[in-house]
Amino acid sequence: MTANSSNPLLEKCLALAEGEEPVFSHPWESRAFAIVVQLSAAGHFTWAEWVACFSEEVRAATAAEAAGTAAPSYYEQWLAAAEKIMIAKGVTSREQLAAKRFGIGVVGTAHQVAV
Amino acid sequence: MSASRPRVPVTILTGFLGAGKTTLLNGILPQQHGRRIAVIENEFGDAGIDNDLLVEARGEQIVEMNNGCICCTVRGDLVRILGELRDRRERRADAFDYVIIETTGLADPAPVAQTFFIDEDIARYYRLDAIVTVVDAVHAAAQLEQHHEAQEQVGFADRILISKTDLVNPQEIVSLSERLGRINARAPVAKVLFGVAAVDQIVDIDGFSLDSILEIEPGFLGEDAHEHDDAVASFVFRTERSFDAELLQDFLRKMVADHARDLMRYKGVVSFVGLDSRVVFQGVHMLMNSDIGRPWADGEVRRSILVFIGRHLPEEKFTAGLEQCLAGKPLPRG
Repeated sequence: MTANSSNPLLEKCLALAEGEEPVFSHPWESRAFAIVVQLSAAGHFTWAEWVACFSEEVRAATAAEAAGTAAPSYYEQWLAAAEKIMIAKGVTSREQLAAKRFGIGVVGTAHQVAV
Repeated sequence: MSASRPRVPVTILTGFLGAGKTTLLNGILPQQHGRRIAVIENEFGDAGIDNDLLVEARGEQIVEMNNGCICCTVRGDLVRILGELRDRRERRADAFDYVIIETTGLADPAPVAQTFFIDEDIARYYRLDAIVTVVDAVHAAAQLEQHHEAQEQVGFADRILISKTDLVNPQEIVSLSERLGRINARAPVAKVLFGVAAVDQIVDIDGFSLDSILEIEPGFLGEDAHEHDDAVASFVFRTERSFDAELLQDFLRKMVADHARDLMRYKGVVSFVGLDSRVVFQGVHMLMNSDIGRPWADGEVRRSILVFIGRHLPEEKFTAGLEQCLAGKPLPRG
């Protein structure tokens, strides 16, 4: 990959191995990261497809920010893109995500379990 | 992920003192049922269980994982024993493929059940299949009056087995079954005969599965026939109108927060505006799971059904609140 400053993905890319900086601010971020890597490794989508999907999300968020909307964090963008590609590739569906969100909304993530 | 091995199903066998849990197990375990069952026994009566895979749990060790949060109350003794059983099975894969936990007559089923959801190592290896409660036909009436634990064991059950039915007259069985149905509208009630009880009366019940159909017992009479004022009771909410997902989510969040201690089991199969499939959810106190269910067919009447089982639950407050969550209703003021 060549350094290309016009690529929003690269502009916002985290320094994964830089100094003492923590890469993830919250545990869910590492899980969101790992899920995408795992799903791609399992063949649900290619990494190039993921990069395209994520870039699109980052581009939209950057544009929204420029227009004055509060910007989602890097991993919120990551998660939004992950949901989109999982729906597009049939890993989950819009309806299943809605059903899961319903339960999380009622009891919170800590109490959302495989009952 | 999907490649993970199937988890070991676990049945929790509860029942009041003397109801016949041990007798039932002793009748079932020696049968040629082709299943290898490990038994964790919590109570030592006169009749011990004869099983190669018997583990004795001495004393109940209730552990609070988190300050005062009821859902985080688990059984430390079970975590240890289930861990040891897992190690044994890892060494010898043919050791067992089912676990039955026989609790003491006075045990609260909640911490036992919650152990399977809260402890991550346990949850990864085991799957809580069902809570089966044995009720003694001879002594049930008195026990339900005198001991709140007896009502709670009935309220938590996925299946209720009435024992000693040959010792009372048929009319008593009918009225006991009706009473059990008012306490727990969703657990099928069956008679059990110690000599001929089959293993499938206590394993592979899928009580905690979101896929299982939510059926209300035909004997459930709801408002009618309040012969006994039992503290534990169920109520059912049915509608053919779809819910607004956000309103229902907010309402249930408030109900779970306000009544977590008293809300023992709840389950719903509901229609949401804008979704073409059923949404199913099921909870134990504050622990809950939700998922997508079967799609609604074209032109199908979208019948939602919710059942709540608990202690002194304010049914009218629930019903009025749920009505407000139906799409197209005006929002409640304030």
